[in-house]
Amino acid sequence: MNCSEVQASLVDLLYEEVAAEGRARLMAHVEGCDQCGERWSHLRVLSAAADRWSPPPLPRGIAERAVARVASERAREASRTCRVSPRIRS
Amino acid sequence: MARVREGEQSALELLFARWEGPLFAFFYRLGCPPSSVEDLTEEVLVSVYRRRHRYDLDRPLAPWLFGVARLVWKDFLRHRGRELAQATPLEVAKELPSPMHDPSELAEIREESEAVRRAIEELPDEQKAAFVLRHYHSLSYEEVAQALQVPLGTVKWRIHEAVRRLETALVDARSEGA
Ligand SMILES: [Zn+2]
Repeated sequence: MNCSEVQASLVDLLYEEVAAEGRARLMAHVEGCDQCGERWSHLRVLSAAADRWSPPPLPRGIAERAVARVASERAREASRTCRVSPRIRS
Repeated sequence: MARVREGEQSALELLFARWEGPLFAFFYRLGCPPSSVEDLTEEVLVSVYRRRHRYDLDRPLAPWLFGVARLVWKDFLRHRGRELAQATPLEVAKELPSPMHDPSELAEIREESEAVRRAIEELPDEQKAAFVLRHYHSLSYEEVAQALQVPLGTVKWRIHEAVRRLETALVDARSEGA
């Protein structure tokens, strides 16, 4: 494995898309190669920096409003079924 | 989800409570205006219910659910226009100082995080969606491909390209800080 092959796989390594065998070979190279080692540590810093971006606190009531909308849709469906079914039966 | 299909109320409540947070975070990081993030989240939950019979119970839920989110998002972009999505400045998330770092190190970390956050916001929509799903929601490339309805190779390319842009932003932030 040469450096450009290794570097082309580092993003996949970061995102756990490399199978165990490939992972071991990549890590062995990264540990012994300054250039690839530096790129790998950059990716780790990048990933940690991205991790620090948190969304604001979740506002209350979203799921509750969705549940209420579903309930009213169900009620409408049920009332439609009730109006129709007596005619079907007769 | 099987119990949601059968119309069990408590299962529906559990499902919505489980997913409102991740969906809210998803739309927030995609750069949707703060005023719309709540509505979009609610819309996805209701759509998930309406589409409940289309979900294949043998497959993982997250890619399917984010696939519904993607449809709602696309619809939003089409109808309300991109200007709106881009004009509203995003609220900057507050960072908690970590006791492990000294103040100058802390400032550097904050600058880097800021630079990366801005670079994520500036990614093209398709790259941003792929990156956000992989990085923040831990979907595999294969699952991202399912959610976004694109080939696996496309997902891989989008994530590589997104990371390349973020790396550039990080390197720039470091050289400015030095
Ligand atoms: Zn190398």
